[in-house]
Amino acid sequence: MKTAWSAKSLERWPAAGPRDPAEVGGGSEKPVGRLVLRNRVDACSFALSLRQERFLDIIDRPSAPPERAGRAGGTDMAVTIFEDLKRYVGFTDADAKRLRAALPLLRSHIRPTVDRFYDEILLHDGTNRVISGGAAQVARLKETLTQWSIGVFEGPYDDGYVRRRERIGLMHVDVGLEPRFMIAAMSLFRTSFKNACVEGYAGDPRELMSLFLAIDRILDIELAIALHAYHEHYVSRLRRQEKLATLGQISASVSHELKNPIGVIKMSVYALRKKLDGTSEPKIASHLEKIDRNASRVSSIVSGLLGFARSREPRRVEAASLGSIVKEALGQVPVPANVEVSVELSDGLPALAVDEVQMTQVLANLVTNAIEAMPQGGKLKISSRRIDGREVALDVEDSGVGIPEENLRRLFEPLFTTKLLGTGLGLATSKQIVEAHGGRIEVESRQDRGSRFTVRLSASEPSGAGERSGAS
Amino acid sequence: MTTVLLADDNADFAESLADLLTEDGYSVVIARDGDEAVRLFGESRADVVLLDVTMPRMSGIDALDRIRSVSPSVPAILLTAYESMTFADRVRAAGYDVMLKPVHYPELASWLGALAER
Repeated sequence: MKTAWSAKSLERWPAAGPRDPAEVGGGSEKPVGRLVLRNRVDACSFALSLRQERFLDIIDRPSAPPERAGRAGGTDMAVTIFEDLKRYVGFTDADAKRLRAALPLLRSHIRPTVDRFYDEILLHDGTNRVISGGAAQVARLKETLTQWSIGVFEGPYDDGYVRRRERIGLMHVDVGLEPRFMIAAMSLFRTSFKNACVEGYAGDPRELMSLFLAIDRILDIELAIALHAYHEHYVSRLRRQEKLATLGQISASVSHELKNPIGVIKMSVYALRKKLDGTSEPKIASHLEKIDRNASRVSSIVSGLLGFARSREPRRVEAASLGSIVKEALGQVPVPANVEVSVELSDGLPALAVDEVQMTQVLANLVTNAIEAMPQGGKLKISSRRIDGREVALDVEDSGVGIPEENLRRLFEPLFTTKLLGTGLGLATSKQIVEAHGGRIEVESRQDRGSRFTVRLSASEPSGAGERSGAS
Repeated sequence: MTTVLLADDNADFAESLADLLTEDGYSVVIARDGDEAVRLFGESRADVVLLDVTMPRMSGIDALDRIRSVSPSVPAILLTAYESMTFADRVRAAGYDVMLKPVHYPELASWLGALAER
């Protein structure tokens, strides 16, 4: 990435002795201190790499809650990590004071730095996927980054500080920002902050060096907290994948074994019903009906499990129009008379390179859920929009009961269901399918107002697709 | 009377299906595995063959290949609980007729009737 920052103004500073080792937090700082004065940016990297193992030691404690369900648990751990890091890098009250004292010098530099950062980052292809909310989102992000920058110098470096930092880290993870952007940003801000301090401390190079060390310490801590959020996310994802793989294997094996006994039950029920005549006890017919209905239900659960266990790689990728997918999906789902369906597809959307059968299954599932969320009837709206040049979003919106906040995070987990007759596999399977196409599925919901599921797909050919045919 | 050779290692399934077929006028010979299916076909010269795909000792596909090596035109349906369309598609692409379990009897009976009339 091309940067608009320069470290030139730092290079003219003559070498000076390091601070008191006790103040900098350990003897290992000494050689680093000399390097700092020759080439500050290199020295930061060097110091960081020296410390990396210790950082990872601290970060890698068996702390991450298994499912990140406990963000509260994660935060407590982040607070502990924060205290450990402060102690380890030797971040002292003197550092806090120096940073606070430097803030007036920096205030006028922060916003232009933030603007330059976003000018730069928005040129990068990878950010378009993350920052898709246009100017309003960029403005919000700039404000967050400005407040973050002020916070770095203002403190106070307490529990509230680390909680705010962790929230930002989790936000990065949630929006899918790759860690390299965050690390690059940290490096650029480090240089920019230091550049901004140089003029103000022209007469006191020793104090400037101390301020630089304070900046390094707090930014190293910031980086560690941000990386902790990524680490926690990846560990949790890894565990989840292991769980899903095991679940998939068990499901496939158990489901296959269940097919035969279900078949026998259904066959025997069929044989018995054939033998019933009009004079038979009506209760017998009713019980047989129940046995058959429930055997069918078990069969459908087993089919769902088998479907979930199967690989979701797109099998037949072709150029498909959203219109035909919507039409096909609506044809598969019976719509009650009290549900009003509207379809609003934008003109001129590119064809999608998808497995049409799988994508129809996803949409049919979302439509089914939407209808079931409106037991008293309501409005179901299917619409499409272009997010940027490469992405198309398909929204399925209902005016139903909405999804409670506590269920939103678990919604795509296999076997999670709030429906009386649900298997909890529909959304999990849909998510697998969409992600196998390189897309994303998201949900927004408001209690008693309804929900909106959004499927975001690339108009280009997805990676990892299996058999392909036709133009795309 | 049309003779059906039915091979399935699940005894309950085989007996239930055999009962229904018998009531519908078929003569049914039951085999418990692929090996036995090949042997009983030789003895019974069945008109139609129904084979489960996954059986001990010899799979339904292998058994059918052996049966067809001596009687190439015998109509046959493979039954499988592997619901994967990929699997079913592959078996179909290889030239076999396939029905997924759990079997819906009226559908099987109708298919069997059509095969028996050939």
